[in-house]
Amino acid sequence: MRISERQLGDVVVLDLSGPLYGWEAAGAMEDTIRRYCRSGTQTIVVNLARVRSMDCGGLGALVDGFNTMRAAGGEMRLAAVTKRINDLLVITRLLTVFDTFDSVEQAIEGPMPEYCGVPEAGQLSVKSLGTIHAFLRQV
Amino acid sequence: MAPGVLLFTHLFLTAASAVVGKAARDAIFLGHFTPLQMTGVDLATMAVVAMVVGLQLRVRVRLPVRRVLLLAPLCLAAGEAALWLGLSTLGPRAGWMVYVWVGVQASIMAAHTSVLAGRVLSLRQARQMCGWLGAGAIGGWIGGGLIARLLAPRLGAASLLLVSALLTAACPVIVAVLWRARDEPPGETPLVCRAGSLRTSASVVWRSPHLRSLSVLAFVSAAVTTIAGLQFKVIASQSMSGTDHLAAAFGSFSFYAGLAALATQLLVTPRVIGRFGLGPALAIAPAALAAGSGAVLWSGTLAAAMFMKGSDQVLRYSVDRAATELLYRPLPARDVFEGKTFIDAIVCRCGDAAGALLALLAAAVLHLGFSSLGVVTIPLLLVWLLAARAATRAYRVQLLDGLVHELPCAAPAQSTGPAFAHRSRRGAKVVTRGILDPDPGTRLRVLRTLTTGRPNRSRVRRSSSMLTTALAAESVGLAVLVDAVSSPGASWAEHREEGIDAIERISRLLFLLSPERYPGCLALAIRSGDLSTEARAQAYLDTTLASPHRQFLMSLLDRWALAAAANGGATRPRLCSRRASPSLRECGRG
Repeated sequence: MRISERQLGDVVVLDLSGPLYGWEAAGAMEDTIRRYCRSGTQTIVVNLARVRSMDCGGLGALVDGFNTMRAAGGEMRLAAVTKRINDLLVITRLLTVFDTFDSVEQAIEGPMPEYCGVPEAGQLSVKSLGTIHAFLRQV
Repeated sequence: MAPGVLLFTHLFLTAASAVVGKAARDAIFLGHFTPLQMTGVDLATMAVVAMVVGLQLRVRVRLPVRRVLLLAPLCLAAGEAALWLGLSTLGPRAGWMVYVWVGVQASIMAAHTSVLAGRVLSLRQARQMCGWLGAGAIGGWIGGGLIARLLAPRLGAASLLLVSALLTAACPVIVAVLWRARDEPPGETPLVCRAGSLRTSASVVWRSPHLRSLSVLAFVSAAVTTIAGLQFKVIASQSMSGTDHLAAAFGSFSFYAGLAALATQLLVTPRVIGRFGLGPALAIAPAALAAGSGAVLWSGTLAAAMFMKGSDQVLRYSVDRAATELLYRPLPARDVFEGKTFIDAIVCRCGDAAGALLALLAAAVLHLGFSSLGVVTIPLLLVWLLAARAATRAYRVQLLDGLVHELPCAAPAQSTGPAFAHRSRRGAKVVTRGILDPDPGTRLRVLRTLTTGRPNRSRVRRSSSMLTTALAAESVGLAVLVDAVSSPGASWAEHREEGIDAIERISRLLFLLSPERYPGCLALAIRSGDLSTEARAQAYLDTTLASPHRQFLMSLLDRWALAAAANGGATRPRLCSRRASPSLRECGRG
């Protein structure tokens, strides 16, 4: 899997291509998101248009990225989610957790979610997401 | 009063009485006799315990369990008080009598608490309360140690016998209150109608592979513990002088070891059992004892002996005991009474006797010093580890047998199922893709189809990566759902069916991945609507699932059960039970 990074204003877009399989690919994605989070980036858009499939590792990387950004007061948005990945997000019910958009443009311009930074009742806590990530990492 | 509090008190009194009595008997005996003779009195204790248990079993045919639990402690306490009175007149042979009597009392009373627990707690309650109940026993060790430590130097070691008798005499009060608080009517009839005897109990143990494996475990652990105890007592008696001083030292040791055991029980036991399961929990005590035995073998000092005995006492009465007690839970109440009484009173005493005999042989034939007995215990510890492994396996089988018995509709199918085996490869591929369909109903239907019969191994192997991903995805989905249901203001009714379906999908995926380990009846048991069947299925999963699924799924199932209980879990649909309709039975075959 390849990761291309580009900056559009305050937003960082990560264009992923290839299947998001295994912990090497997942680790690379997690490291990239952590790096931007440390540098103060508030919004990261993950473009999944060229990712046709993913396994538990990839799912774990998305959970970790989302959790990292939320813990730092920022946000991670998913753009152009393909059908297979969308199905996986539906099965895991993470579609109700992640912010997904049809395109990168919509993800950049999309409204800030209401719960950003302050999780509402019903939203997964940082601890729960951490537990899910730890589980997916070990599967 | 809550049954948990009463059981805690019963365990406290029983353990405190045993500690106080044993501190007195060890000091009194070592004041008159040699350590080598102590091995002989252990053998005599075993023989007397066998006779008393046989008598108790015969009495129980005529008396209900409640009366046995009420009368036996009173008799034991009276005997102990009589020994205290006659100690000065009986002379040195009183040392033998006290040793044997206290040994008998400790053996009988330990089994009584288990019987009581089996009568008032369900499997789920027992799992949840194992830490709390274990703390009662450890509290008893601390309390008993403190009493011995304070009273022995002031009133003498002999006075401890009277204290032990008083503590034992208080146990029937707890039994009476506990029995009255039970849901069942008090006019209970004896559980066992067949002729009660040692032979009958032995045959109950012999017939059950699970009880047999527990017997081996109890035997080996008792033998090792006896040798370690002898080493400790001998090294301590060589380092100190005076009966009262020795009794106080034994009391102090029990007190501090009890404190350490309490901390371990409260902080470590639930985490170890929850995180690693019964197998690793049962391996901790022998591993620590091996380290202690090695230290004594190498240095032979009192510090090393204290470390060995301390690690044994701390871990045996916290992690190991809690795990061992849980191993008995899947058995029927009658088998627990017969089997556990026999194991605790006879097998353990035989183990004690074997340990004493081995120590005697090692000292007399091999001319080994007591500090060199590690050469005997370390190989035995390996046997202990193997026995623990076998007992865990037998526990799993017992749980599964119980599930199959409770859900006859779910007897494992031997034939190859049509869905997986008889479709074309392309057809099978389409079906297996259905397990990752976004619609939960479709996924459940596909999984039910796939699990009709026994999965075709080669096809499963080819799809194992997809199945693993599906299992992880379903598990995460359940986690998000449980989180949503547990949050304040969430509607349980809205999500109940979704959760039950998700749990069934997870069970069926486990079946597809490994039909030998996760038989089809689990899926039915786990959503049967019957609390005891569900608890049994969960206990089975708890010992069968591997990491990381075990920690993740078990915590989710516990949280789900809590949410169900908080919202009237009894309203769950009964999908498959003994009375289920044939069509429903068919739906879950496999």
